[in-house]
Order: sequence, then C-alpha cells, then structure tokens
Amino acid sequence: MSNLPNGLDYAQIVDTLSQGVIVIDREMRILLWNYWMEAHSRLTREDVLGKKIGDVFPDLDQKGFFWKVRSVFTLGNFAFFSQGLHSYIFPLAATRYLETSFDKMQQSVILAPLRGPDGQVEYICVSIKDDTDAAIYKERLEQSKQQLEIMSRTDPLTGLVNRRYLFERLQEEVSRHRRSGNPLSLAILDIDFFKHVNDTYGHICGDKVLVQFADLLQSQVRRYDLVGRYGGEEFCVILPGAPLAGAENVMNRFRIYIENTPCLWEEQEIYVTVSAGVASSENLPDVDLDSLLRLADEALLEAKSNGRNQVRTWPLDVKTDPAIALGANDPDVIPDDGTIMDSGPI
Amino acid sequence: MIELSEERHEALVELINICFGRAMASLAELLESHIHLSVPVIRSVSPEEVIKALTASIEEKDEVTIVQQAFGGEFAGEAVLALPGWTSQSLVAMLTEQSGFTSDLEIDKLNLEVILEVGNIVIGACLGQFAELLESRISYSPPAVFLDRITSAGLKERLTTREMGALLVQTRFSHKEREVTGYLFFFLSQFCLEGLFKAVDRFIEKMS
Repeated sequence: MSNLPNGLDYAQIVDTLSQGVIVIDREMRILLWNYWMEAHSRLTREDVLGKKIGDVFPDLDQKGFFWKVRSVFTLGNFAFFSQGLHSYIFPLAATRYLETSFDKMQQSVILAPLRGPDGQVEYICVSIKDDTDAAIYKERLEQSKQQLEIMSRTDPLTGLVNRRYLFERLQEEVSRHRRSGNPLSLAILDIDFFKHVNDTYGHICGDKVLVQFADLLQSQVRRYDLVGRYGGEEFCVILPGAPLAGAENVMNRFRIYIENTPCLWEEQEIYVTVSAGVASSENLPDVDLDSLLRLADEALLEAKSNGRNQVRTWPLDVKTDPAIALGANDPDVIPDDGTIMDSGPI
Repeated sequence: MIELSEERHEALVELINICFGRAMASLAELLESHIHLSVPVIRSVSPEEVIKALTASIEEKDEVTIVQQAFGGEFAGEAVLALPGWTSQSLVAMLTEQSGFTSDLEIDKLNLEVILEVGNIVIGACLGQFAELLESRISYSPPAVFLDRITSAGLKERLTTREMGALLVQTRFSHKEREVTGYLFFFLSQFCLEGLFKAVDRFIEKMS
C-alpha cells in the first residue's frame, strides 16, 4: 500500500475496474464491495458491508460456492467458475437488452486467496467478469454451426439428405452391421425416362416431379430407412435391419405406388415409373460401402436393361424368372411370395 | 531438450516430494478422504515425447478426460491431469457424497464441473506448495477440460505444438475406497527454466 503516491489508495483503483470485486473473510462477511458491484447489484456498500454473502445472495450454496470457498481457505488455491458451465453465480441483471436471450449477466468468477500477516489465508477476493458478450457470440456461433451442418447435408431441391451425407450414414450403417451382424440393404432408384418429362413439360416441371417423387418415396419407406438424393433423378434408400427380400418388398411396394400416383403440375397429372436395384449384406462375405453401392447399381442396370419399371436384386440370377420381369408392370403378378402389401390401382 | 544436472534433479525430486506430501494432507482435509500420490518421476522430454509419455503411462485405449491449466510467474508452463474415462462417476460421488459438494447443474455439466474442480484442486495444491517452498508466486489461468482418445490427433496437437521442450513431472494419484486413478503432468516451458533453476539453487543453498 505504501508504494502509492499520496492521496491515492487501492480502494480508489479497485473502484475504477470494469469488473466486480468482493472481499470476504472466514465468516463469509463482506469486507469490500467495489463500485462495479454497487452499479450492477443495485446494492450500496452501506447495504452489504459486514453482512454475510450468503444472506445477500441466498442461492450461492446451490452453486457450490461455499464448497469452493472452503477449498480456497484450506488449500490456498485459486478456484474458478466458468460461464460455460454455470452461466452465472451472482444474479445480476444483464446490461445488454437487445439481441440477447440472457436476462442474467453471464459471468466467469475467480476466487483468489488473500493472506494475513502470518501467511495464512484469511480472506478471499472474489472477482466477477461480465461474459455476456462472449456468451452471445458463442450462442450465435453455435446456431450458425447448426444451420451450416443442416445445409451441408441437405439437397436444396428435394430437401432429402444429399449424396455426401448419405455416404457418411451408409458408412456408419456398414460399421454397425459389422458389429451387430444385423442385415443391411441398400436400394438405388432411377426415375424411368425422366428426360422425357423434361423434354415434354420443361425443366421447371421436371424439378416439381423430382420434389414430389422425393416426398412420395419418403412417405413409403419405413421410419428408420434413410432416403437421399444420389444424383439427377437417382435416389438411394438405406434400409438398416432389412434382409434382401424385405428391402425388395419395400421397393416393389413403392414401385407400384408411384406407378399409380400422379405428380401434379399446372393441373396436369404426370405419371412416372421407377426402376430399382437392391443389394444386401446377406449375400456378401465382406460388406463395405463400395461393394454395396456397386452391386445395387448393377442390379439397377439389370432392371433398366430388362424393360424398366421393376425392382431387381443382387445376385442377379436369383430372380431371372421371365414371368416376373415381363409381368413387372402388373402388380397382380408380383405378390407370389405373399408379402407385398396391396396398393394396386384404384 | 532441457539439460538437468544431477544435483538439480535430486533437488527437484526432493522439492516435489515435499510439496506433494503437503498437498496430499490438504486434499485429505478438504475431501475428507485420503488421496495417494505416487513418488514423482521427473525428466526432460522433447515435444514428440510428451504424447508418448502420456500414452505409455495411461494404458487406456479409450477415452481420457484431460484437465489442462496454464500457470505463470517465475516459472510458467502447463499442468495436465489425465483421467481414464470411467473415473468421472467416482469423482462426482466423492465430491457430492463424501465432501458435501452441492450444485444445481444438470448431470452432464455437473460431471465436467467436478472434473474441472478436482483438476484445479490437485494441480493448484501441488503447484501452490511448490511455489511456497521456492518462495515464489504463481498465477493460474482458469482450467479447461476436454475429452479425447489418447491416441487421437487432436490430443497430440493440443499438447505438443506450443512448447519447445518440457520438464515432465509425472505422478499417479489414486484413491483407496473408490476407483479413481489419474496422472498428473507438469510441462514446464523452456523460457522459464532459468527462473526455476535459480529458485532451485536457492533451495539447495538453504538446505546445505
């Protein structure tokens, strides 16, 4: 204290700080309360000096405050309360009223030991820093991050997940399959003669058809299947837990559904059909992302070259019965395994 | 690499032994339970060795919780407390049931708070005693906590990019009644070694 020029004292300096400073003794009595504390708590020194800090702020015990105070007195260490965990320790009003969801000032608080003449910790200096601005920026950053994350995995036209996220999830499902041994199937779908839609009705109509197709596909799969846009008029469905036959059924059900459900554009009904290829873990000794995609794609090519509007599975020789391939346009021919849900033409 | 003469090395081991002993006593008083700190190992390590030292002492293949706290003063550096993933439950129980720690935080945040606090206390107690013995002073930055896999690149980056070389003080703390084991590392940066050595030399002089 004696180093300061005449007329200047530490109390005056402490009063100019733009942070809160409180000093308490072992009985938790408040010995110092700087101007910042007066301004932000609306309590004057006359109100608080000599009072117990727990009487001034009754919620302190719930925040582990006195436990840490005890640790500072016992160990002589510094103790910290982070804003990220606690939001605030002292219920002071936020000084910013605009653009913030915080009604309490966000704070980081430090407890520091102060020693008496014999070197023992006799007092604790509590310093309170206003972290509201930082917390607001952190909150905004978090919101932007979430928005970006959603944007980065969404196909802007159809609102389905995009190819990148689809592959990420497929990789996760492949790993899960390897751990659990549960079946995993993958379907690739391609709208038949989609170029024809674009050429006849224009690209705006083509886009509308893609959006409606995506919605219809989404509505027809199981709750835990993931539908994504693979490219142009190609879509993918990841079917976790579905064996080959089950996945084939889901796809066939959708194939029949879309054949009979028109997409609407400027009061015109536009019918499209779909070809699909399905591959499953059960026919593969080593399941990985590439092989599933490749084999589902091979099955899709087979469906296309065999006359379209049909679902083919890999291995390709499982169902080469021409009756099924030929009768693919006729829903009544399909359910010879009895498992396909009836959704024939109205 | 930091050159450490035999005399200084011995003095450091002695110093750290004393202050760890005192820290243990204070911790026992605060936590109302006994925490054992193993005899510290002190050596000079290069940046590449820091992560190796960590992986070698923590056999956990899984997650570790790391509490990192920077300190400054006559000697400056970074303290790291590494805890195997499963210890946090025991620590929460130890603080809340045994030593009366109360908090209205949600469970996830409470876990972090407890780990931070234990890190802060263990690091603060050891360093505080160390500074006191050397008649020096230390200022602390708030501790930070993060979870990572011991082998991951993120951990590697956090621990090795900043310091040029380090004096590694390694101890293991354990608790009998509860399953708690942790490893404490102090990385003392090269810049402040002169200050540390001066203080150690003062200590040697006083002892002899």
